[in-house]
Parts: sequence; C-alpha cells; structure tokens
Amino acid sequence: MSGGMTEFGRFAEPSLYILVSLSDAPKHGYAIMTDVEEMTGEPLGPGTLYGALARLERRGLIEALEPIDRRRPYRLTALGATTLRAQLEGLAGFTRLGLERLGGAAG
Amino acid sequence: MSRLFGLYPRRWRVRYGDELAAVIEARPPTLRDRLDLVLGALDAHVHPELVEPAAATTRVPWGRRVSGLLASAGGIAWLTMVALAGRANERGVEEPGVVEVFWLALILMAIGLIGKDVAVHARLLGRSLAAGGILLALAFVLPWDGKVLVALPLVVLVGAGMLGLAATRARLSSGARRWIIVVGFAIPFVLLAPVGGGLYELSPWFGVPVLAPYGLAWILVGALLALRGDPTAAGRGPAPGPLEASAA
Repeated sequence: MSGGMTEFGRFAEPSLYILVSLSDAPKHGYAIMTDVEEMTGEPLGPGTLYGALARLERRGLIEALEPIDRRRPYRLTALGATTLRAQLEGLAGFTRLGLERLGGAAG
Repeated sequence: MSRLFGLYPRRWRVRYGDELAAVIEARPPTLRDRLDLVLGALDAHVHPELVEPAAATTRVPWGRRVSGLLASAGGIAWLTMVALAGRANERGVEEPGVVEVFWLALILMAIGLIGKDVAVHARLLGRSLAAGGILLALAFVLPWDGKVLVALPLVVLVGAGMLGLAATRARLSSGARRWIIVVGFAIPFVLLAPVGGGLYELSPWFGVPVLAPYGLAWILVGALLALRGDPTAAGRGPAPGPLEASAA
C-alpha cells in the first residue's frame, strides 16, 4: 500500500478492499463483509471493518447514507474514487514490473 | 456479545454501535471475530479522533505522557513482584526483592496517578489515594507484626481506588471503570486473600489469575494516559462519575 492510506497502518489493506467493494454501489456493513470475503477468500472481522470504515469516513473517502433500520449504507465519494484509482494503478504497475522480472528470471 | 461492545468508547458506540450490532446479528461471531472486536475496541480507545474530531487537535503535554509511562512502569513492577513471589513459593525460600518491588510498584503507581495535572474535581481523592498508597508501601517495608492485617484492607481500598481514578483519567467509560475496580481487583482480592498467602507464599492460582490482571490493567491504563493525556483536565472531559463526584 502506498500513497493516501499509508497512515491507516494495519487497516490499509482492509480499507482498500472496502473501497473496491463500494466502487460499484453503496453497501452496508454486512454486505461489505460478505463481498470482501468473496473477493479475497478471507473473512473480514467486524472490529477491523468498522476501524477501517471510521478511517475512510474521517478521510472523506466514503460517506455514510441514511440508515435503513439499523443498517447504514456507505458510498464512495469522488475523492475516494480518485484515491482508489490511484491505488489500483499503482498496484497494477507494480504487478506488471514483478511479472516482467519474474518472466526474465525464468527465461 | 454486548460485553464486547462495552469495551468500545461511549462516543464510538453511539456512532457505530447499532450498525455493528446488526452485522453481528446477521453473522454470528466466531472466536476470531470476538478477538477482532477486542482489538478494534483497543484501537478505538487509542484513536478517539476517529469519532471525536476535537481529539485530533488536542496535544498531550509531556507531563501527562510521563505520568502515564510511570503508571505503566508501576504495572510492570507489579507483575515482576507477582513473578518473584511465585518463584519464592515454588522454591520454598524467601526470594529477595519481593517487598522492594512491591514498594516500587506502589510508588510508581502513586506518582503516575498524581502527575502534575490531576483533574481539578478529583484532586482531593487522587492525592488522598496516592498518599495512602505511599504510606501503605512504607508500612510493608517497616518491621512490625500486624502489617498484613492492617495493610490488606488498605491494599484493597487504595489499590482499587487508585486504579479506578487512573482509569477515569484515561477516559475509560464509567462501566469499564467499575468493571476494573470490582471484578478485576477488589472482589477476588477480598475473597481469596485469607487463603492466598502472603507475598512470600503466593500460591500460583492466586498470584497469576488474581494479582497479575491488576498489573496488566495498570499497564493498559498507563499506556492510554501516555497516548491521550488527562482528558478530564481543563474541563474538556466527560461528566464526573460517582468516583470523582464523591471527592468533589
């Protein structure tokens, strides 16, 4: 993780997953948890989920919508979308570089 | 599960408690989830600015950080005392330094509690408890026969009160503070002390489960103090609880 979420510490990686989860539509906490688990194959604990949500909300990367019953949906802000795009492009570049080097070493 | 929610700061529970409860109802928590909630609660205490923006701009004066570090050091000294006393019991000999470390722990806790910025409304109680702690420590060092009979109730009252006040200063919720005082220290100490033995005859089943949590609690509360300072000073803390109100 680099760029805008380095100060999130152990919440940086879960925060990225949450931003990706919210990139197609607003979701509430449980929907985010199940979506992240489907994406990564790893369960996202409730304490980690809300620790990351609180940080993302405070940084203005996501915003809370009106709750439906007790479930409050969150959606990506414009700043959140920009930050997510930058993070993913950075990771994509890093992935390409790694694969190129790996390919070179194997060949 | 509600007990785990109680570990979170009150402001955090107001903001996220309902949502988190809905998540837990939708997916029954595993043991891993419960541990995750405990770590999340600790993080929420260390980072109050996440739900309380004003906390982000509050700088902790170095004096309060030192106060918290001393309180944590007192907790470490307390754990050392428990370990030394347990070893003495295991070997059947008097382990040198047990009483001295006990004395050091109380002194560090008392100094850490007083600091230079004890909250105004708790000043009298804080100083009284700290002075009692110091006198108690001296009573253990001086050679006289009735020290255990007199000192034990004092340990319970002063120790529990000191920890409770430190917990207040570290802005633990009133519920958590009561839990620390009653369950974590006073009741087990009172019930088990008559059969638990003195410092040199500390049974393992008494020292580790009963006295060690007290040292751990001081380390935790001291760490919170060092990180967050004394929020009850300068009138920016929560309303005084029963402990402070009684001293006002």
